[in-house]
Amino acid sequence: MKVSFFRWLLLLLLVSHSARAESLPQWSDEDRARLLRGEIIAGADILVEDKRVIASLRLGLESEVLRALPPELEPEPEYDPKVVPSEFLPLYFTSSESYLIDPQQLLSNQEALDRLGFLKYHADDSELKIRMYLFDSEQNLPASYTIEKLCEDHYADAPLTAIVFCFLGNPERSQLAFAGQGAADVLALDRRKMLESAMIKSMEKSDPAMQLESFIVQLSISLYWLEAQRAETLAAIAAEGSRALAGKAWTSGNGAGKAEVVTAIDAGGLSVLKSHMYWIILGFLGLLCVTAACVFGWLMWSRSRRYHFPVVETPERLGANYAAGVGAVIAFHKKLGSPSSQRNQVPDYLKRV
Amino acid sequence: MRCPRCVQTIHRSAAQCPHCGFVLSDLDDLYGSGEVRLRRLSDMAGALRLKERQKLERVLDEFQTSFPQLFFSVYYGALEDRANIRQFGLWLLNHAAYEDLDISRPNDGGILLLVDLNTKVASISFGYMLDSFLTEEDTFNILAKAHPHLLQGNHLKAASVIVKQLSRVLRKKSRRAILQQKIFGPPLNQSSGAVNALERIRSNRSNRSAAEKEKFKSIQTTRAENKEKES
Repeated sequence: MKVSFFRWLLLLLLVSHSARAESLPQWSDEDRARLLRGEIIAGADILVEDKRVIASLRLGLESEVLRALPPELEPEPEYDPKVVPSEFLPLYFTSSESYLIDPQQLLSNQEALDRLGFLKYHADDSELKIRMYLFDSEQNLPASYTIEKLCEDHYADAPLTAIVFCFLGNPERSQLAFAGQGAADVLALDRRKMLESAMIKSMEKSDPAMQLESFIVQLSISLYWLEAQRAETLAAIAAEGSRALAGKAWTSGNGAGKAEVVTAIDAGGLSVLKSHMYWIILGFLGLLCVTAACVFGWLMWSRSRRYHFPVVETPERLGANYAAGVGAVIAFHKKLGSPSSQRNQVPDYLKRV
Repeated sequence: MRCPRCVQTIHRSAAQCPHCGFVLSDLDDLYGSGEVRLRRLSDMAGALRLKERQKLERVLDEFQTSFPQLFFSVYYGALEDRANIRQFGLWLLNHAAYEDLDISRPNDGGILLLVDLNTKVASISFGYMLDSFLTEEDTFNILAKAHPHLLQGNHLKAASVIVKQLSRVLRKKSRRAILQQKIFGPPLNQSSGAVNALERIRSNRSNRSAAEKEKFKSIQTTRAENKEKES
């Protein structure tokens, strides 16, 4: 029993000694102080400065890690609110099918759709289209890019169009020009009035999007009146032309029947009427037929209708067998004597001689 | 109702005028007591041309089509005494025998337009059937509508206007009478039917009461005696 106890004690001592011998190294106080000061690097003994290994490692890192790094970004140019960015200028100054040109996306998507919807509605209803170019409130265009140049370059052959440069939030800077056929006929005074009225209307609102909406609505109203005025002028010119032609044909005496009469069909909204003329005539004829049928039916019915009187036994009067009904008497020998003066039927002996 | 001689208002069933004592037999001495054979359109004064007469005949036909019980006759004459136009109209409608009229249209339902071209006066007389439906005011308004045409001497137009206006008035009165009959029933003194009335009229009112006949006879005899005394 005692022998085994000593054996076990000996084993325990041996194990504890070996465990102490295999434990982690301990920092001496001097080394710890140097480590804290940064004079020594922990683990520097195990780092190997092998040039080949370093070269191979560098190659691996360059091929795998460095390629994943983003390319070096160019510094963004500083945004100048007074200048239209050069990349947008060509987008403005090209021929566009849209009525709202906003390449800078100054309006939100919904606002742009709303304004575009109204411009399309106006275009459907009017011969005079509106092209709206949107810029920021303080933006200035380069000298070579003007509204006149845009009109000449892109809308010279188009139908009469109102080109508007609108500066969001700054309606006082808005510009209006007319381009296309007949643009020269629009007086500068009218153009200025239209622009002023639209500007005044838009300035009633504070929100730039609402200002733009008011501007477009007022401009659309002004264009309607301009269109009506133009239609009247065209009709007057056409009538004058037809009169002149008729006069010429009359004085010459040749081909009086061949004289061309200039009509004002194309004036104003008459072209829209012309497109529906077939249906209008058809409807009118149908209505006429129905009315005629009704009138004819009524006439036939009234003609075929018979009127009867109840036969009443009346006592004889003045000894007359068949008739004793004495109606009125009217004299027509005096042209100045009206029938009303004869209304009171009196015996002749009561009349003044 | 007015007396055709003194133009005073008389009762609807007056046997003679209470003011002047007028009865129709007085006119028999003046114009005759026999029947007068006439056509609906009698142009004794030559007021209308042939084509105008034909047109007016068509107008009269249309009137008769619309009113199966009635007829319209026009007499253009040249009377001598202006005051007698009412009396002449009354006498003519009672003594006329219309050649171009069916027997189903008695003189009871007749309307006579009498135009005197001599004195330039026009009048309307009508039968017993229209006694309850036509008033003097109605006839005056109808004649007043034709007054401008009468002044211009356009007698065809004047007669056409009169027929048209009269038709309007009669249509309205007929509708109203039929409606009232539907609502209130037939009048108490309405005869059993148009056929009976026709028979009665064509038989020269033979079914009149004996008392009525006696009354008229006594009046006539009294008048004859008075005349004999005067002469």
